[in-house]
Amino acid sequence: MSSATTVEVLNKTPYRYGFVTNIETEKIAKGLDESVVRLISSKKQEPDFLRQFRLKAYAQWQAMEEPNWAALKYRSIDYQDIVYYSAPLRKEQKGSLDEVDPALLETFDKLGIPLSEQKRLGNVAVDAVFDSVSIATTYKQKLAEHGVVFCSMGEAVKDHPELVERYLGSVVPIADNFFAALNSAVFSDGSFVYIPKGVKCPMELSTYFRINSDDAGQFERTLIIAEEGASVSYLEGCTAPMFDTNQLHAAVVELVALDDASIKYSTVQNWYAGDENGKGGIYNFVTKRGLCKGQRSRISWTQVETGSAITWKYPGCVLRGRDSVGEFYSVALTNHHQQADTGTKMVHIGPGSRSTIISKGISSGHSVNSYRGLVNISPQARGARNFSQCDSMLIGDQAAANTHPYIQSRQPEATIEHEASTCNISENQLFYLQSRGIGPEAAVSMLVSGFCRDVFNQLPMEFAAEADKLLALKLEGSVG
Amino acid sequence: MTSTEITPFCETPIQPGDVLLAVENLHACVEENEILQGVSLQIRAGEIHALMGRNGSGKSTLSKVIAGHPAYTVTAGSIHYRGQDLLALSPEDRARSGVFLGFQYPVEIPGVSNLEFLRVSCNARRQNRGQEELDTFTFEDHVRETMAIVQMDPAFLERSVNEGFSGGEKKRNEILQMALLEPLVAILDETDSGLDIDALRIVANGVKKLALPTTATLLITHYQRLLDAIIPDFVHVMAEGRILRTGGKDLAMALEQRGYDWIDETDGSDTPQP
Amino acid sequence: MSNATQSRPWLEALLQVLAQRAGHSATQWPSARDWCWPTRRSETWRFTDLRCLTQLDPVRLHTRTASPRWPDASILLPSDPVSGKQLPARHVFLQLDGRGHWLSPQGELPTWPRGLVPLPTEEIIPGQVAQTVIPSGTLPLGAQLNGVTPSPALGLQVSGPDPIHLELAIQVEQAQAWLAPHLLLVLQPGAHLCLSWHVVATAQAAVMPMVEARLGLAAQLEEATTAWGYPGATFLGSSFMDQSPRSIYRRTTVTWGWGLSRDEPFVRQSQGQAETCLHGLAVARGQSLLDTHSTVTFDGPGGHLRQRHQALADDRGHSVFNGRVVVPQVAQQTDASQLSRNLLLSTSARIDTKPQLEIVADNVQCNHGATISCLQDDELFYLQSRGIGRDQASRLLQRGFCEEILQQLPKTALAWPSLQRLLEIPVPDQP
Repeated sequence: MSSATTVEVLNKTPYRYGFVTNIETEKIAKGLDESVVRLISSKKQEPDFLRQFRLKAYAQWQAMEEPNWAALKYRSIDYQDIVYYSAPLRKEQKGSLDEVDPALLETFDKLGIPLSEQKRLGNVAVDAVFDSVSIATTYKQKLAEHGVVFCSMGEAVKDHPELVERYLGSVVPIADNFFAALNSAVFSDGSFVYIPKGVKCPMELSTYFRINSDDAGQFERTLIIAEEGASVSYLEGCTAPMFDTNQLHAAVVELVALDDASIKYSTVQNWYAGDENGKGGIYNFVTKRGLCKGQRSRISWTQVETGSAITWKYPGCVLRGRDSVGEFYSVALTNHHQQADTGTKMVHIGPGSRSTIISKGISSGHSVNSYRGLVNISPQARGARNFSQCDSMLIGDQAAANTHPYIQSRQPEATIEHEASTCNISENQLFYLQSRGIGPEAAVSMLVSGFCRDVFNQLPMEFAAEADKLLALKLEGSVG
Repeated sequence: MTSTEITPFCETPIQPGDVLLAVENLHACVEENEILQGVSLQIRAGEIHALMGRNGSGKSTLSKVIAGHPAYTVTAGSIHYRGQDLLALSPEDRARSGVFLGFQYPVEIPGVSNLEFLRVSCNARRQNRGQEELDTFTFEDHVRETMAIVQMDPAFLERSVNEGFSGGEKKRNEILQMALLEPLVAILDETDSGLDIDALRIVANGVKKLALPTTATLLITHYQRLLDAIIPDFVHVMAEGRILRTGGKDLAMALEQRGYDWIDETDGSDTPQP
Repeated sequence: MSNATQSRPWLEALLQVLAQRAGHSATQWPSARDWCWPTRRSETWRFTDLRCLTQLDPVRLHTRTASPRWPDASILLPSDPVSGKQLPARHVFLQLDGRGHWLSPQGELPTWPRGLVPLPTEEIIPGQVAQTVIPSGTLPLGAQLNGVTPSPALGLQVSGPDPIHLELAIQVEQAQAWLAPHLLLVLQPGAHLCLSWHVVATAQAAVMPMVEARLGLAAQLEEATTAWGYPGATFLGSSFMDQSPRSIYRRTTVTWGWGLSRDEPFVRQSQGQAETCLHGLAVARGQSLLDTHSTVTFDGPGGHLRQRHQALADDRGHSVFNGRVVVPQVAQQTDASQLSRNLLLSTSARIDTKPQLEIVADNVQCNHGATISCLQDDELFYLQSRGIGRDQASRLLQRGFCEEILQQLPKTALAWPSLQRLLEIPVPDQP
């Protein structure tokens, strides 16, 4: 069999998370203007600083244009056809999980994220976010004993307004880009994490994002602060129902690491990607950035991107601290008509700052998978180092893989190395595995996961296996 | 590729002397070129065959066609394995049912751990034989014991399949796979080439240990030296896509002394099949 | 900062002057309004400031050239190793005169060797190859300016397997010179041409050569360019190569000096199966801004590309490289590799590099790499430990870095005095 016929994408992979939960929600009318921004703020009973933050962002957003430089083609988004506030109705303020709507608990059970006290995941605290509203956070009590704050953004605004005011928008300014400005104006909820000085967070923290509504935009805001010497590992998971329409997801994540602090942020993104003809799916326009503010601070992004119809996402690090470290490990798999334009930004300001970029893109079907990454060394960053490796694997002759590294240096005593290559699944590798009794599908998935191994090694153990399975599932049927 | 049902071969006991592999008038081509032009060969349980010939005579092609390499198209003839049409099976089903090819150039597979690969492969074969699959721990014990046969360092288990292995290490890894899969017919394509004397001895000992009265081995080689260590029952000489001559171990020795030209000069048309 | 709004009046004045020179009224000439003038908001001009060009005064523009200092002819012409006599001339030496014509160093009309035939004027349609090489895109700025500048074009048909050597030299010594030579080459199947360009500008001027070439089956074009300019001079080069199967195109470009240099080669392998080799060296010292934007497109299977771009930035120099490699679905079995190596030697210098791969074919071998660093300490140390002073060691290593590309130049190019100047790498400022 020739490689063209071998690897013919006839994928009929079922999306396991495509169900819709029937639940009463409170929604405001579609459309966006200043009064909507005020309404969101007043519904959430926000302090004045936050209302001003939103209004300023809204004014900025109106003056901005949707970016068009990414290698993405999609129908233009009608921002007046989106619901900007939608929340599950609840009878009263949730005090404990017993008060959470059982339908929601059941939803998260079905997704494999048990929230009820008896069934909780071993050593992982979960913040469950349903249509951008946090519905429950587990292990809060246990974390509080260590001084760790892990709660929804809404609660953080009430309980820790000084931290929110100080850090919100400090890494991703409101005018950073079109989608960040939009998020800053209308963000609904999200997770907030604060690790005090010297504390190693005793368990993995995780937020699980679930989109349920077909017309509401999703605008979460996540803020993680690690004080001096603190460390935390955080994981984000995402799924959505299958709709014929596209839902906009424009989240912002900000990380701040002070001296000697370390934050590891992992994402397994499995938003609904649309059907095999490219109908439906999430439009994912996300701004994620970490600020290595302190000396020797470290921020590490690991992402496994398998979902969304459109992915526009460049988790980056601003390496301001002396000897700070930024890392980006990414696997992006696209199939059918998915389009992903993803990569990172490493901005070196601190002397001796170091960054590593490992990106693995797998494109199959008619998909387009682009790596876009910036490495910028500013004149102050004496002794800075970057190493980047961007590999693409092409499966079938209809898929596209693009590599766009932007490498900029103004510091002679910095070293930058970038390598990129493309490969396919070679007939000889496939035959070798087959001649040892391994079937073609298992062989392809073995080769793909081998290709991604450098990145999977960075994921927390229990999720690495998940990610491996997820890739195998996504590739099912990709061998004819 | 045609999809084939995995037919578990009921491994009825094999008697020494049973015909395991029968190749009849096999013609095969790659792209437009006909490489095999009527090969016939019969291999019985308990036998060791050696296949010799110049570069380009079709030896490797024959081994790849038997294993089911997709680049070759069979245009005429047949291959039967234990009475069943081997050509109807996918490469993985051939392997699962007990046909093993030791590659001349084992492929490097970055990122895939050797241990994981060996376990999946070994379990696929076990499943076919109706044996239960081995879990990670049991398998690791099993593979460590087996590695002793080829004197391989267990550190190789942690590395990617063949990646960065020296020539000799790759060949030993092939024999390790053979030992784990316990094939009924083992074809070793130039397993001796590129080996130093010590490595050759290790590989030859491994092959000898694995050759049983109920299995068969086909050694493809250029050199006499492997045949000094493993004495073949039959020696075949291939040229231009056909087996020109068949004889005993003396034939290999004669070749070593007189070269392949001698075969060309003698009339090989009426060599009797033993 | 040069941008559209500030450049508009300059461009209008320029177009008016050029229309007059061509003997047309301004209404018949392309107007500044239809012009797609680059702004720094566009991705391909983000780093490239056009101030150096727009500082020229449109009203004072002229086309006067000086006589190039050809190296000793005996170096240039190969001689018979036995008799020592010069071989029959398959070499043509031409220099650009003040009216835009190409003449011999003696100021005579060229005599063409067998295999080199001038094309009739009516067959030289500017842009004819460019349109096929970039069918959808707009022409780069250099080619657009070349197109509106009235100037005689040189068109040549090349045939026969014996290599023909064509050496073209442009020497500019007077300020406000505006030169836009246009060269069209048609290489018949199996033809072999070695083309050398030597451009020297020692005054505030602009040189905008445009080369178009069609390479027939198994034709071979070896192009070598050395371009040196004064800090206020601008070089805007554009070339368009259309390669047939089994043709070979080798290009080596060495650029140094200039206030602004922007070189934009476009290569298209119309049916794949051809070989393309691009070598570039840019040495940016002083306030030099040297920019290379290359595009190689494979429109058929089995194409081959080796590209290597090396840049050295010192003082306040700035090097920009953007290398696009486009491998569509028809281009299976393409083998393309691209390397961008950069030396950054000063805290005021700057390097921006962007190798780019765009692939829609699974059975291909494509890779690229990019590095930016200063001289390696261990290399410096090794030389120092052999008794070589640090400055000299640094110069040796810089020279070694340049040498990797210079080696690709033909011997005749190395003989030019301007190139000798580059090879004498100046002593860096004392700390």
